[in-house]
Amino acid sequence: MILFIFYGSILFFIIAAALRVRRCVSAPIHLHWELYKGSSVYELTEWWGKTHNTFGEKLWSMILDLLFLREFYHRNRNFWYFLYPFHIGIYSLVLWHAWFLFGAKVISIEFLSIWGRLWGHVATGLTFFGIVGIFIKRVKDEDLKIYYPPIHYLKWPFLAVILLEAFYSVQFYFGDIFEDLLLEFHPNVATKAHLLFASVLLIYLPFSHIMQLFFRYYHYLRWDDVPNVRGSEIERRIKEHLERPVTWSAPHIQSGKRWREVASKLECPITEGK
Amino acid sequence: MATERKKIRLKDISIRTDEPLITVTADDLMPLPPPLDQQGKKAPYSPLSENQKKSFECSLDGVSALALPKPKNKEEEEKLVARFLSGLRKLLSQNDNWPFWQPLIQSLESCVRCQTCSDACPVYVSSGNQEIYRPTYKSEILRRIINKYIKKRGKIITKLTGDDIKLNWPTVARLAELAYRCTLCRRCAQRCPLGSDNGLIGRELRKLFSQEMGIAPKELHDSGTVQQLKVGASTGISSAAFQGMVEFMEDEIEEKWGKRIKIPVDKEGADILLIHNSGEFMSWIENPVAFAIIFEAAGLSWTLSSEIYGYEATNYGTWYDDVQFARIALKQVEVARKLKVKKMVMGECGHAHKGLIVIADRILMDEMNFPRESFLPLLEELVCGGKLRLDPQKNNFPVTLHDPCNVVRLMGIVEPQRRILRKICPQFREMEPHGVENYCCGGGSGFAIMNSMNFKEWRENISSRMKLKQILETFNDVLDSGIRKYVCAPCSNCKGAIRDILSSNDLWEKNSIYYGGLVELVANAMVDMKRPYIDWEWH
Amino acid sequence: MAKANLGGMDIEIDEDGFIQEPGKWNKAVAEDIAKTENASPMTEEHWKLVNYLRDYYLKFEIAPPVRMLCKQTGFDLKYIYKLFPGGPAKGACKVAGLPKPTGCV
Repeated sequence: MILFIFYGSILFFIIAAALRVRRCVSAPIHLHWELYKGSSVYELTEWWGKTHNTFGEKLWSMILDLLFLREFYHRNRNFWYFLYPFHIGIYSLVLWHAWFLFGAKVISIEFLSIWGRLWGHVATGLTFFGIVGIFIKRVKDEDLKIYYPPIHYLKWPFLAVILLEAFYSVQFYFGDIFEDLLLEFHPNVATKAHLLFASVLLIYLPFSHIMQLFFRYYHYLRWDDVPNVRGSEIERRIKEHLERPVTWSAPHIQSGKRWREVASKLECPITEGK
Repeated sequence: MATERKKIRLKDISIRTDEPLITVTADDLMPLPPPLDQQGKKAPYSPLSENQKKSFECSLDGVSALALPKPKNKEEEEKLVARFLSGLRKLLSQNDNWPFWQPLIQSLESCVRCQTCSDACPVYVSSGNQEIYRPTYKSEILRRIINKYIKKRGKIITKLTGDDIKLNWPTVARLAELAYRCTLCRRCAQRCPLGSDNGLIGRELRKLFSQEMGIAPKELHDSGTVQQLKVGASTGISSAAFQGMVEFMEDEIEEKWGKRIKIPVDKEGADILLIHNSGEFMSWIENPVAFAIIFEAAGLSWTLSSEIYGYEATNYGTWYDDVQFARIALKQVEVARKLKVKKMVMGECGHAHKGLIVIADRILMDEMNFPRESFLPLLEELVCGGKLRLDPQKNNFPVTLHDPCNVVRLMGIVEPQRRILRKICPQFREMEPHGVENYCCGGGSGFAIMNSMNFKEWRENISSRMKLKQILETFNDVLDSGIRKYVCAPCSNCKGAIRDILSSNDLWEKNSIYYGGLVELVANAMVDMKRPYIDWEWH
Repeated sequence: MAKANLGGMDIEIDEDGFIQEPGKWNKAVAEDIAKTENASPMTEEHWKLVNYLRDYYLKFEIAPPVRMLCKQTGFDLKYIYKLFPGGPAKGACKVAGLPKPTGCV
């Protein structure tokens, strides 16, 4: 039963996350609205023939941002002190699970129970430290408290409970997890509880801010200033949008006509008269 | 800081009261450095007259940017609230709001309420951290309205995700004004670790009011985009008036340069069509004059246009209305296309840079996808490439550079203007911070031209306050009135805002702080000018 | 829209006091607006400025560029401020019955 819920939640997570990603990827192409961290191609005459940032550069910048939370480090250091251990902890816990699952067949249980446990505990400790710190700051710090919706005050303690429970099962039932769960798919009680919590988390995850991380980089990588060239894919997609009707209702809009008609050179009734 | 200030919460936006939610007082304001540190305490803006209070909504902070008439009765209020809600639905629909749907949704969903952006906002900081000016205040209200009135995900989830805003007329009226307390400088967006853009949320809110409800400041809509589409320019300059101004420019050139030239107008097939903000002709004609002198001295193939729409770079639609924006951009490009020039070059106008070169890129199709660029790289080639005979000693006075947000942070043109100034101004000094971290002049997104009722006072004393502080700090060792100083602001809108803060604080009279564009400094450094180009007179 | 009694007539004005019915402008109206602009009584020099603005306005439906105004009247900007403390746009143009300047000026 518990395994059924657990695998179900994984499936749910994958589907929900994919739907969110799809919503973002299939969004209509939007007008240019970028920000620049420094010099751009517009500093050159006849910029349209010159190269913009390459995908590699953007990807590298994204990796550094994710690994070190550079933005928070530079802009909001006090918060970073807790946010960073939390993220590093989470990253290593994810890696730990992957290593644990895939390594189960090839690595000896003795090795796992010493180093695996140590790794898991350090990662849990970092995450836990981060969670407690963030929670306290979210309660005490005026700037971090205002506007923070109530749901998040449930989220952080919940995460803490999962960690404590995970620590408990790894510390005291390590061998059982290894044998029962991974080899025979037969979890004990402590592990069952952990799986249940993990399922709840997996169901929540697609709606959380963690997913936003993806969008942020999608934003930086893809919402970038790729110029619209004649005959390009961008041009083709925009032409589609120009066929959509304008639905806004203020008097100057001319609701009901297509974007092309409202805005194009072919027709603009406002210029009549003069 | 004021002694005990009432703490403003999100839900206060819905309060029904005759008094404004807040009034910024002299004690709240961020202090200014010398010589304005000893200034007597004066309220940043005067209250509206009783008559104005009776007619216009001013329940946010006692300021009116929109001259929004008060609804006559309950039914009218309800109708307006319903229209707001229908506009909000459109804003959130891919179909109705395709031009900005993706960045808007991203900005609404990704905020983690870390408030990292607040300190980046010059309005919030200058006003003494007024809660209502916090970049996230209006965004969070919008988020919660969406949560409660649009998403409708059941009582529990709504409660847990925030449902404390009551959508009524006071909320809508205050949001409308609040959309015009942010200059869209997007410094907050630059700071956001998650990439949420509170500036964009403000702009989209303006758009909702304009495109759905027909609510926008007169200066931007009626006498802005509507007038431009009708007459050709937001200043009201007609083609005939423009031609008279060109003749006047030729006289000025003769007087300064000692040469009689014919300014090319409507020259078919020229390499460059130069487009100025038409406000330059009205208030700072020395700017287009300097362009003409420089381009002629460098022997460029260029032209101005006297065609309707061809002598106006502004497009106020950038700040509040996608439809007006698209209409104007297409008209402008059409002129260049008909004239068969090789490219359009924007003069010193920030939003025209961002608007026509960057934003419009994705509405210009086929033959309308016409080459457009900034004057800055071109000017850099002329100045640094030895095409002009220049003597930097002619500019031997302290000069600082104001970075127009639209050109720098929003477009990434950071270095050419600096390389030019380093070359021609021996006493060039940077403001802090500068470049993509710059502060807005306080006149951004149309504020510089919004002067009705007490809005001008609000701008000068609150939204421009940070710029004023920066200018004074930059010149703090040379405040002596015997030393002439120059704030170089290569954007008409910024120039207007800086002119107003300098003049209302008597900074030219008392401390010889002057302002102007970039090409004026280049012309001033030209060796073969008959007399100094800068007059130090038009303040 | 508010109305004001100027030159013995009720004339619509905007919230900054610019008249909205240009057809009703006459010398008496100008004298009355000048009172609200600390430019009263109007001297010959006031009139020289106002007349130039009117002529330009009737021809082009806008105010002239500031520099053109100075050159054509022979008054420098400082002197214009002395005549009309509100300045060329908010002071002199208002008295001359021109619409409020628009655009990035």
